Amino acid sequence: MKKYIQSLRLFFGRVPLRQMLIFLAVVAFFVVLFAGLDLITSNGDFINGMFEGISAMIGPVAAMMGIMQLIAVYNSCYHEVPGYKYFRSVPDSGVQLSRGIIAANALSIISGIAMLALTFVMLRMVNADVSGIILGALLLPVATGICNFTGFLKRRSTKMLVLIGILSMTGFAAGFCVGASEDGEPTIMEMFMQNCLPFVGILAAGLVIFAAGLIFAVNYAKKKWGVDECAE
Amino acid sequence: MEINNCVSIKGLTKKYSKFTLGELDINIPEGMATALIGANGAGKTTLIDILCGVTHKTAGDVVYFNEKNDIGDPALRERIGYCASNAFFPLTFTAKDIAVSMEIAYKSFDRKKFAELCEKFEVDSENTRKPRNMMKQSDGNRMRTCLASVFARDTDLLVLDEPGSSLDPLMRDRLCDRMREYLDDGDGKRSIIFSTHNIADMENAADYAVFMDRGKVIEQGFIEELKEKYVIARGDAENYDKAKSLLLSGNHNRTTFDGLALAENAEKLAEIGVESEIPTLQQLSIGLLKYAEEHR
Repeated sequence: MKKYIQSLRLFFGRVPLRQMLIFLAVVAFFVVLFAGLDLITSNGDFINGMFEGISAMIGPVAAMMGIMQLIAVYNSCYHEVPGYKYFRSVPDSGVQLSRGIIAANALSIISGIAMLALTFVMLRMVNADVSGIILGALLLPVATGICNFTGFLKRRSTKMLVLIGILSMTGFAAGFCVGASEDGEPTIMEMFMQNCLPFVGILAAGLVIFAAGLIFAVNYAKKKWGVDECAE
Repeated sequence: MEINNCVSIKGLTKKYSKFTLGELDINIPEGMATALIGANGAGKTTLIDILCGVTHKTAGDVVYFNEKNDIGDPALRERIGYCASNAFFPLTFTAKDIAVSMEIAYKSFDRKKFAELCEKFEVDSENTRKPRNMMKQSDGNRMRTCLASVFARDTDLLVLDEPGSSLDPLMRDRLCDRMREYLDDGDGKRSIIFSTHNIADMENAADYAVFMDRGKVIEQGFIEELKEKYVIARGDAENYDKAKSLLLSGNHNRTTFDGLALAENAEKLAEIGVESEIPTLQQLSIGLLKYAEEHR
């Protein structure tokens, strides 16, 4: 385990947890703020609607927090990027990268789950809808898997499109969440409580995508990283 | 005296769609500093990147320390210190991040020595309060940090890609001293390969020179021997036409001319009233590169 964390530190210098803590602090601040405003304005439509939207959005965004670290690891694999030559020149560079990828994936999943759990607790404390958390949990392995598949894409524009796609998935998920809870329709949370099987199925499919992406990326890092890249 | 080779390159080629390096045959002597000299696009960086395992070669052999030829071998990489020309480390790295990362990457990295060298080179060290990351530092300071990191390792070969290009003249002078110290401490077993455009400033640091043009080696040898092999010819413009055939390359104006010639032609040049003198490395480089350019 230690050598995987060490490999990640080789690429970052230190494991970057600061962004996640800042995100959590911001979420906590806004949850308290909106809960307070909701109370003061006696369930005003404007505040209610805003709170509903934000609570739906927070889940998928929380899930994405760890993925940013993973994207940062893949960004150091391009020869145009400062640091590439250093990373390529260290002993066992391919093995170090593959371990770094595994550690970044683990960090992505663990921090994603931790962020979702903490966000869930905060939303429950103010009795807000937690459907976004379920969508975030479903989205997390799929997004991480896609990240792994696209990490070594040579065309950065394609990679950017994929990233936009992942972020759009977050938006769609949030929109879906808000839409589903309108006017007496059951919320995602209620649907989950009634029958969790479809959700488990989606989660399982997500985990397969995640595992396949991880295997692909690790093999690529060990065998093909930098083989055809130009340094001039 | 027989001199061992620190790196032997045989038939090395690297093919890109618009550029081909090689075939190169170069022997880098052990215990000395070798300068790679050439115009932009000559292939110096590509050669250095191949030597350090950053880029894969298309064909040919590279033998390091007379025994190893697989740059993928971690034990070999431990023995080679490498520093690229610009932005070697990620721009988000501070001195502390570099220390942490290098300590993980290399067994021979001495963190304390790195901090000392950073202070000596007058850049942020990991002991600096609120050290700045690479992005917030000038090119010169980035290079100083990079050099501190590479000198903080116990290596047998240093490969530096244009280490002097972003440094001020004073620091370039200090770098030359530092390179000499590195070689002296190695008891004849340590070697340096560096590329440079600041030939005049780095002349004191080099013992051997490899001149490259468009991916090919056009000349190589010990600098002292090259200075015996070539001369700088100087004369009045009226003698230029007579001397022209003996010059490899040269410049002339309405009153005078000068140019590079083979030392074996010095006597013939003297007969037509042209003086010859020992070239500096800078003059030698310009003369040879000009000759290569004119004969492409």
